[in-house]
Amino acid sequence: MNQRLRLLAALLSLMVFPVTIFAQRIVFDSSVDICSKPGFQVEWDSESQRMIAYRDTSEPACPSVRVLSSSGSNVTLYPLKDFPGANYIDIWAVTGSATGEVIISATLGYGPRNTRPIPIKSLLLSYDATGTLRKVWNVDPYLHHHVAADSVGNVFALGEKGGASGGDYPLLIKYSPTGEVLGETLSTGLFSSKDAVVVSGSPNGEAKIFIKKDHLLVWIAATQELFTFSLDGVLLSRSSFSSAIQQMVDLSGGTRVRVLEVGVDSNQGIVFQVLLRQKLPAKAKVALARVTPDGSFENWIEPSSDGDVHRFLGLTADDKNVFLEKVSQKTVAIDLNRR
Amino acid sequence: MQTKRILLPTIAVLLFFVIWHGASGFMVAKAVAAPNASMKSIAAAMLHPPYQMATPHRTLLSGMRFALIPSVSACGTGNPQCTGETAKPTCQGCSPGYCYCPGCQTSGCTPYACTYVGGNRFCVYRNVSSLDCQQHGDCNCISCEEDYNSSCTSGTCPPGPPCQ
Repeated sequence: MNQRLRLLAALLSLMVFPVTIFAQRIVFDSSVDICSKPGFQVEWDSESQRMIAYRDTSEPACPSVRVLSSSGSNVTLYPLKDFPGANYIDIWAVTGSATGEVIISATLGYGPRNTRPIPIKSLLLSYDATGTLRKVWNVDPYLHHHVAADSVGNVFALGEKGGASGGDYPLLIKYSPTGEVLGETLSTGLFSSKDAVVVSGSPNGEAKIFIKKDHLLVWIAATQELFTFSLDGVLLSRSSFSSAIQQMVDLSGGTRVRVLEVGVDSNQGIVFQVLLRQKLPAKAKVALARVTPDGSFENWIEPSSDGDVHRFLGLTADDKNVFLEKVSQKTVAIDLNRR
Repeated sequence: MQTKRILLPTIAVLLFFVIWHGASGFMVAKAVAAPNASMKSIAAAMLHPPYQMATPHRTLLSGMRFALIPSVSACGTGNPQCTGETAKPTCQGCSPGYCYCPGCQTSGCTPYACTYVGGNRFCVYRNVSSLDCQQHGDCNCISCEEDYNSSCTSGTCPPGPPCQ
């Protein structure tokens, strides 16, 4: 009897386990895509365990956003179809919310791409879990480069104000679920390079915002600082990581470090994937490092490598590292069982 | 007489709020609609909104001012002209999420493109040869980070002036 039960349990586990293992792997195959250019950028939504791939497009029939979850569900968004009259959409940032929404910071161009000037609309869009457009907020004069959402649907956005005439202004805005401004903080006056800290192109990497355990974290790559806010927008801490990053330069014998990705765990420990620049003609290397909350280098999680290294995307809600792996030229995957 | 004295201002105030509310709704729908959308389609979107709309940084008055006098680009001192562009990471011919150059490897660098968004912005393609150049932030678009720029130079814009 016992043997039969064991056999039954083994059969059942064989039936269930492949599904479970498959469910922990998110595969994005872009080979069937009819629009090959441009390629997709990828973000990790730790709240809902989803991969969000996005790209700019000028063709309404081309998907701009693909949302793939660990549960196997797959939603494709065609935002340009929702805005008849727009010639193209550029996507600057995406994020997922705990309610399953996808929030997109986008600009819509009403005219040919190569013509100047043309009307541009800077928008925050919210799509529900079924891929239906639910909210459109015109956030002009802001252009948001980074977005995050909390569990009740408030949206935090880090962006620059077009046409700002020299005076200081807030870079971080908190919007209510209905699109009202609930708070503004992180003044440009805090930075010597003003609003350039949120704009792409810093040699130190890109800025980033994310929510972890009821805290809003803002990584300013240009100054190598991490700002921690309460979800009410109160600044709790401002920590510099420049000494830890300098330590990485020294340990690797490199010339400088660019932060490719940053993740913060539940104990405020920081994980950085970094690009270690070497003296030419040596190739740059990639490494994964852990840094303590007080800004000291702790250890290398992965030693430096100059090969085709997997990309670190961030952490899961329970602090597992999430990596994007190349499966083939057109296919990438996230294996959530991998630590 | 007394009733009239109370009723008339009350109606006037109510009417004012109804008009204000209607005008605000119209301006929000107009801000979300295509620039050349007809009054009729804007009014239809206002009455039967297909999605929730908002203009968080505009009031009715600033919305009206914007509708009447669109903002103009005016460069600050030091920039020769406004291109209305800003730097944006791009992804050409790489596996999803591996938008680096050359060779789409994580150990490569991030290619950027000058992207038109309007406003008081300045951005030109250039080959970057010094760290100081890059630290100008939005003043330059970078086709690729230093060290590897020769393999990733792209775009149709001519190179910008040398860094000062």
